[in-house]
Amino acid sequence: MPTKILEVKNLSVTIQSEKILENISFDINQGEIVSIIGPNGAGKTTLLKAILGIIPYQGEINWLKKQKVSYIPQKLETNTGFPISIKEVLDYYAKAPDREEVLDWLDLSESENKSIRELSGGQFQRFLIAFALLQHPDLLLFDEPTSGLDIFGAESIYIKLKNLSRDFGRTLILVSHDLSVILKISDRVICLNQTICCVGPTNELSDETIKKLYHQEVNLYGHQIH
Amino acid sequence: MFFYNFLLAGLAGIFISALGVFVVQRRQALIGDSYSHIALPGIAIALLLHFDPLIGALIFLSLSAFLINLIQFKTKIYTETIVGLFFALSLASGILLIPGQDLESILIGNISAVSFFDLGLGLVLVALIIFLLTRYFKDLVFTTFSETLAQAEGINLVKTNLIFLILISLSVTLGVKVAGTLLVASLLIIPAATAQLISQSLKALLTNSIVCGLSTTILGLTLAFIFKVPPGPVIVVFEAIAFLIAFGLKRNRI
Repeated sequence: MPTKILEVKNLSVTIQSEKILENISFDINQGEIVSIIGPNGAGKTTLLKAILGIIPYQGEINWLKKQKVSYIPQKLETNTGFPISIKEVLDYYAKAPDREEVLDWLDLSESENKSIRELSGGQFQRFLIAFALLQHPDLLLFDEPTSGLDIFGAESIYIKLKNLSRDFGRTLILVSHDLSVILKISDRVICLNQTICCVGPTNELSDETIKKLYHQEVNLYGHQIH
Repeated sequence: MFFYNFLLAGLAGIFISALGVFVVQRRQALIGDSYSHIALPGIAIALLLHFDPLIGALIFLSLSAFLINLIQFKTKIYTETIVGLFFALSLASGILLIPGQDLESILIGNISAVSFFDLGLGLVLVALIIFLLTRYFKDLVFTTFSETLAQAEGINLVKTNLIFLILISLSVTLGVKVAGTLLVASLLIIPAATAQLISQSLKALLTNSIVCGLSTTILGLTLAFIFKVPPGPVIVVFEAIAFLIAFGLKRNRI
């Protein structure tokens, strides 16, 4: 029996009199990977921010187990031109004894003294993951892990994420547009478009549901990774 | 007497250019520019009521910091728009209220008139800046890197933004005497922009900005004394030269 860690009940978010989310309810179990998919403007990022408690909401967000939560924002929510080195960011905000190990795991050891504005898209994304992991979270909220990455960059990130859940028992909530890849690693999928269109195990997700969610032809298995 | 001048100018050069790093990295360069003019009505009122103009400037700038922060988070209007509004109003009322012969020295600086009181006030401002900057340094850096991430880690954005505006208020007051309101903004922007061209870490960014701010201020002031011209414009010319040199260094490296 999986352990439930988070319970969201009738969650609604209104920003400047515009309803962004309406009556959202779902649970999250320990150690699972849950992906939130949906078209632009569906409220995916808003949902993550409500779970983080950094925006006001109506309804209930109940933590059934004390969790250290880390958030990995979209790249465009960070100032990527800031000449600050990886080492400096980690020294200030993520001092942890396992730093070497985490950087090594994310292939960042050699970039530690680099300024973040010199990093490639993939390196920057891995740097954000390193930052989050060094907070030693139980639950990771990850907003568009692979936006701006090519298919190989994206796949390497997803393999890392899968390992996090499988080998380290971390719970992951991902927001993504990257359907073909995300379906491979998620245990469950939440389809969101202001309200929840569907929620269930990944293998039960059908082309029909996706079509309904995006209001257009989307082929679930459009491209394969070789 | 000269010693007071150079000490005040040096302090202004160091602290304004250090804060400038945050102004530039938070993409609020034009805010720094407009912000300095908010000092004008304060200076005008001080001149009319015969108390020290710097005190008037400080009061007006600090009040504006609170007001701008309040309007910004209550209405979601961009800071630059609000500062723009304050800027126009301040410049207009300053020009209407300040007598012509004083206006010029307020706009472009007049360090020859540094009194013991000015220096004392300068030291108090520096102490406040050091206190706030060391206490909120991490929060300022984090919110500069990513507001969302900082918020997720529990940093209060409204409070940090207010601290940031207060720090600008204090540093603008410190610089008004040296460079004048029109040019204090250059001290806030050009050294930090120069440093950004050649720095790959925050430590380097702050060091380069301070070195640039301090050296151009002292050089500018020395020449202003020798040639009997207002210090503000000379300092800006030196800053621009420093920027061009940094630009040349960067180009050669690439």
